[in-house]
Parts: sequence; structure tokens; C-alpha cells
Amino acid sequence: MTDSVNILIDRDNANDEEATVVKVYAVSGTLVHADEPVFDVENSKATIEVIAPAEGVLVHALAVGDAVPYGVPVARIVPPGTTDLDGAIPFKPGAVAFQKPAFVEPPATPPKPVVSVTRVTEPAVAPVYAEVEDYQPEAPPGSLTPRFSHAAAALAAEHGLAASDFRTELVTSRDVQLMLRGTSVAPPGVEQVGNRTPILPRKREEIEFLRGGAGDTMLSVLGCDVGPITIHREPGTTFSGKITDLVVYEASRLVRKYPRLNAAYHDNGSELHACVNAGIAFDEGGRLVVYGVENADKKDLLALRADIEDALSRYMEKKLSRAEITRATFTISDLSSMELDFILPLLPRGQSLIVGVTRNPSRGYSIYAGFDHRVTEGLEVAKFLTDLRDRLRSFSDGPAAEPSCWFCGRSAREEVEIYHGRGLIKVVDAHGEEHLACNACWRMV
Amino acid sequence: MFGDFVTYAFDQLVNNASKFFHMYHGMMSCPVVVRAPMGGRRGYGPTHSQSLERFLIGIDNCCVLTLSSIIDVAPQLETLLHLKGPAVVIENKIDYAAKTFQAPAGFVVEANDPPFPTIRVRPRHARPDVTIVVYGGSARYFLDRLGEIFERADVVPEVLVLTAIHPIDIGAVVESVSRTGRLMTVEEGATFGAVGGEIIAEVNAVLRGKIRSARLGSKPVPIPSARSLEDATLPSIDEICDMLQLLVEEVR
Repeated sequence: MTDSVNILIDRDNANDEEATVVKVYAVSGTLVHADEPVFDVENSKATIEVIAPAEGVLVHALAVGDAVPYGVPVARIVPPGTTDLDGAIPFKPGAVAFQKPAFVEPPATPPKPVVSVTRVTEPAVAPVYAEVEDYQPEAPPGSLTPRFSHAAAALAAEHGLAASDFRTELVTSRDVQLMLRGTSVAPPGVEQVGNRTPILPRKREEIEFLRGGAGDTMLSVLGCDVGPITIHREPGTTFSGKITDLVVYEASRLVRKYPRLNAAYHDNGSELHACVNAGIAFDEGGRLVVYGVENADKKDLLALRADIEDALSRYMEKKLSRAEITRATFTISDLSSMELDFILPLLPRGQSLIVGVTRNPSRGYSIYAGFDHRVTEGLEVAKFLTDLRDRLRSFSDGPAAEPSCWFCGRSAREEVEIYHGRGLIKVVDAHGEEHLACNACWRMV
Repeated sequence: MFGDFVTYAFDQLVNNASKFFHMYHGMMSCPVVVRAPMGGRRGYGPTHSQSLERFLIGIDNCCVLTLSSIIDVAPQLETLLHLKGPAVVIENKIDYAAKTFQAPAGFVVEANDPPFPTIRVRPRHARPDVTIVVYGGSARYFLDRLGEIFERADVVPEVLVLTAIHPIDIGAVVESVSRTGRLMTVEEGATFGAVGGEIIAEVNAVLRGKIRSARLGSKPVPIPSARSLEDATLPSIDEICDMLQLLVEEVR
């Protein structure tokens, strides 16, 4: 044998990091044969015999009770004739070796029961919960060092916010967003009650959209009455009682005549949009989106109606794509399903015109135009509005001014020529409203 | 002995120890305390790494405690000596060598008053977004990483550590969830038919469904011996962060 061979203890269970020497068969310097036992070591599960892997002189510094680690050389077999045996010892147990309880003298006093053990490093634990009223979600600015989540740190850095700006100790991205939107609406010296509700992401998006439009433009509004539009609609269909489709159809064609109304203010100039995408505001319970009808100026009325009805059903199913709700080049907001006298339509970002539609019983339909005064001016919008009004009136089934019975719809002409009456009677109802009534309806009421 | 083999004591607990008091008209009881070291994360394999408490919390008249190294357990051990009925004490082997928990910056540790207290680790100066309920060995594992969880999940948690999982101190949980509106339970065993589901059900019964909740546990498979596979099986920091973000995500 010419080379030395290390003796390692294999780990044979997952519990222990080391084993304990319980028997030493051969003292250091003894000649041992291959497969001859040299030590017994014990782990938490079993006692294991360690055998010599080769013939030679065993060198070690182990004694009973020593702790030996797994996987490292703890003894070595060296060739006979090696002079420096001490120098060949691969492992020396620590000064304080692990002692098996069996080797320990019984203590003079019995150990204390475990329940009376007291810890030296007692943590600072409050004996009882702090009352909820004692919670201090905020601390005076500068009195603490806030800790930021990764998302909050990135957002704060992006907007140049300093740690000392925050009053909570643990800052999330929502805290940063609240800070960016202004934390207080209370006048100076007036305390807030602390029931602040954060703006939902959907509403934030809407605010951003309007901030870039109405919030940043020189908004002005003009309006004119259209009067009643007596167009035949099947009751209960999408457009019954409304003129959305007509306004989209006519306004889309008209903005080609007034191109500055299909434009946007940008960087000290106005840019005309290359196409006409009419936006229609859909709002069903706090979910306002503006659907853009692509190339609305090139679609006929039937195609427009189909497009809008399809978009409306997909809006209800929340299936409108991002592109569809951002591509509008001007907007129409039709509130004619309710009785209103006025609307101040707010201009969305990237547009110069928004048309609002209202209806009330005495005036019929009215149209309003909100516009960016930096791109166009009142005279042009007034011409656009009167053009639009005239075109809308042309849709009426007959002369809108022809008097008819408010109750049954019989016209004055029918009453006289077919039913041989004298004409219509003006009646006043319980609300003081005046209506025209034919002879038959007047008798019934 | 590993707590995995508490199964050998199951019959004695279910049919004897927990029943004597009632069977013998209160003249007899069996205040035995069974200590069961449970839990994984050390590569011990399928039969030495389990968390079997979900089989124990259904034994009526048998207390199930989960000790942890979050606060000193000496008073709890003292209380155990005075129990009138049987108790199973679930411990975690990793906790044996651990020093008592110290709260990370921005959080404080509190405990309430009952004999087996519910420990609360709450933000000192911030409003908590979510209530996390955890117990046993998982408590230390996740609380040691609480700062990292806050930073990565972008969520401020308030953590409740249960000392008793049967019966549960549900009042403390309800109080916290009534402020945060969101509840997440974390346990080391699989979630089906387990502690987290019971906590969520109890809280829902009081707060009448006004909360958002989620439960995190291990995958429903025997725990592998290989450390890498064991880590993939037991609940992880990644999973807790993902679940927290889902809980606070606003409903669109």
C-alpha cells in the first residue's frame, strides 16, 4: 500500500448532523487489516460499526464520546513506515465534545420541570392586544422610516416622491397612487374624518381620459332645439324613443364638411383625424365607455344600426376590445331616454367635438356641442349644429308641426275629413299640461 | 417520535380519552397530553413530514394545540397541565432549535389573553389590507419572511397565529377580518377538509359573506423526500404572494 485512505462516516438518517463515538477498537498508530472494525459510532437511530477500508496504520484523534460529522475524513489509514503520524491525523474533535447522557454524572439536583423554564431573551410582546382605537395607521410625517414594497418603490421613484412624504410605515403602490392623486381635499385646518374611498382603476382611467380632454381644453358649449322627430320605430327596440343612429349618421357626414370638428389639439397645433370614427357613450350603471364606430361617415343607416346594436350587446357582455373603446375621433352622448333640459358634454382626450342629445316633452329633442376652442370656434360649431338640426328634422315621417290627438294620434286633418268633426280640442290635464284631443278621446276622458 | 404516527393513538383518543368524561357521568376524565412533532421542510419523506392536524380537529372534547416559536410557550405548557380532557400538542421540529421570533421592522407582536393566546403580528403604522391566519411550524416559516412577503406582494398583512386549532379563538379572527375584509389561511397540510376551510366558514357565518377569502396549503400528494420536490409541494413564498395579490385585486 502506497497511498493513504480516508475513513468517512456515511449519513444514514436524515435527523442527525453528526454521530457520537461509542467505542474505539484501535488506538492511533495501530496496524489494522482491511474490513477490520475500528470504531463504533452511534446516531439517534442506531449504532454503526466503522470498518477499515484498507490495510495500513490507523491514525486518528478520537475518543469515546467525541462527536464526528458526516461526510468528512475523521480518521485515515496510512502506509506502514509513515513517520509523521500526528501530521496525518485528518480530524480533531472540538474542545467541547458532545457527551452522551450515559457518560454524564447524575446531577446533584433533579432538572426543573420544563414549564418553569424561563427564556433569557424574552421578546417584547405586549401582554394583550392593543385596542383597535389605539391603532395608529398613520404617524406624523418624518417621524418614521417607511418601508416600501417593490412596486411602491418603483412608482415613488418614477414620480420623484421622497420617503418622508409618506405617513404610513409600510407603503404599498396604492399608497403611492393615492399620494399622486392628492391626499387631501379638505380646506387647510379642517380635519378629514378618515373615511376616504380610493378611486377604482376603471374610474381612474375615465378621469385620465377626461383630464386629457375637457380638463385640458378651452371647453365651450353651444346648443339648439331640434323639436319632435316623428320617426316610426318598433316599440322596445334599441332605438325606440331615441335618435342616436340618426345623429351618428348625420354628424359623421357633417364633420367631413367641418374637418376641424374631427381633429385634436396637440403641441400648439391642431391635427385633423384621417378617418371619421364616431364615438358613442355607453353607460350602464357606472361603466362608461365610448365605443368608436369605425368609418361611420361611409356606412349607410342600416349598417350603422347593426354596428351599434352589435357593439351594445357586446358591451353588456363586457366583450368590447381595447381598440374599439379608444378609436373614436369625436363623440356622441345621447341622454334622450330621460327627460332633461340641458347637458354639458365633457370632451374626451384627443378630440375636438362632443355632441350631447337631450329630450323633454315640451321642446322635443335638443342637441348640444362641446368643443375645444383652441381648435375651432363658436361660429363654425353653430353652423355645424344648425346643419345637423335641419338634417335630423328631415327624418320626421311627416310635417312635425301637424297637430294630432295626444291620446290616439289621430291628426286634425283626419278628424275633420274622415270623422267629420270640427277639429281638435285643447284640454288641460291634472298636471296643468296642455294636450290636443279629438272628439272621441275628449269624451272618454 | 414523529407526529405522523399519532395514527396509532387515534382509536384511544377518539373512543377512549375523549369519551370517558361523558360516558362515566363526569366522574372520570382522561387529561392525557399527546405531543406530536409534525411538519416538513427537512427532507424526511412521505411518512415523516406530514401535518395531520386535519384528522384531529374533528374529535369532540379533545383539544388540539399548535405551539410555535413566535412567543414563549412556557405559559401554554403550564396551562396544559390543568386541562380536564385530552389534548394533542402539535409541535414543529424546526421550532425546537429556533430562538423566539422578533418582529421585522414596521410590525409589532401582540398576544391576547386566553389560556392559549392568539398571537397578532400587525403593522405598527399602516392599515392592514389582508388578515392572514397561520399556525404551527408554518407560522415561523412565513413570519420570518414577512418583510419579503410585504415587499413582493405589495400588500400589508396582519398575521394571526393560532395556538389552539380546536377549539378556535374565532373572535380574534373575526375582529381582524371585519377591519380588513379579506382573509387568507395558510397551513402546511393539504387544504381539503382541513383547518383553513373551517376558519373561513366560521368567519363567514359571522360576517355573512361580506369577505373575500382564500386558503393556501400543500399540494394534495404524499410529500416527496427530495428537497426540491418537497419545496414544490409545500406552500411557498411565491404562492402566498400571488394569492395575496389576487385577494386585494379590485373586482372589475
